[in-house]
Amino acid sequence: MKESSVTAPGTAPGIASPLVAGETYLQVLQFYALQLKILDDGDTKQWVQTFTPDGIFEAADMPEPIVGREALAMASDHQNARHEGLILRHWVGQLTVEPLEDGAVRAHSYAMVYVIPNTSLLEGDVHFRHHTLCDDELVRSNGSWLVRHRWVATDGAYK
Amino acid sequence: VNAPTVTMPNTAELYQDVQHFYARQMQALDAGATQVWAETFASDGVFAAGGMPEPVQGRDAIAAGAQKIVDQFAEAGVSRRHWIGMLTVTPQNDGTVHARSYALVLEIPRGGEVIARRSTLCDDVLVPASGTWLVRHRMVTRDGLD
Repeated sequence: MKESSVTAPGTAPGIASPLVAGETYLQVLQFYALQLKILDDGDTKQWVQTFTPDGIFEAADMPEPIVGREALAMASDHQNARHEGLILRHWVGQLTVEPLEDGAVRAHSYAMVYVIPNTSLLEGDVHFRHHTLCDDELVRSNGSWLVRHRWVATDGAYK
Repeated sequence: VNAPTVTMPNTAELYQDVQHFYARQMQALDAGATQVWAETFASDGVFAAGGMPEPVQGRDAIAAGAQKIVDQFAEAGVSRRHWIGMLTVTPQNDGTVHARSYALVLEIPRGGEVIARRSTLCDDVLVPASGTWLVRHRMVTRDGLD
């Protein structure tokens, strides 16, 4: 298993560490917009394709990392079942992208996670459920990006 | 009365660089990395905010001021997250950049729900410095206070 190579997960990068130039930054911004839309749509098949075949998903509240697309698919199906009847939205922002030595990038971002009950037009209040930090290693693949390693922590829940 | 005009940034790259700068700067503050935060200001940089009796000047004072607040939130067990948006970036003739943005400040108490605690306007003069930007002057106005 490849360890993150810059700083420990969740730590702020130093101001002196370089950031990627504009075009790559835009690509990564758009990657997140696409990936989170797929997640919120509950599209497990597409979701697992946004990770490398041996991609890793770690979260501060999970006892073990999830490794590989098959395991990611099972976890995704489980999450989708939990959100039955709710519309789920991940809103990603405050993204920073740093180059890594092997051509990959390290991306830090925030996500606001909210749900809307899928009942009627009149009962659709937004409920903010979580705020999370996301620390990813992304690799280029066929003109897009894939997650090689994701580390997620939910604010307020774990310290 | 003429309609307000926005001078467009002369390159898309500049706008993105400034956006990227803010993301990193706010991550540092929210992570409690107050030294990193202070280094995003010019050495004689000024931080002024509505509700503060006097502006804070210089990196040491900016770091100390931020550390005090970081410690208060840590003590209370509250995470603080700054979301920057509605950014305009206007290059000036002297090579500085005038950047204005909104900041939505979220607070998440341990085991609690996400609270939108503050809405602020941020009015910055940025100066270029070895491939990045530094804040020469920041004026933060808190909505509802000033």
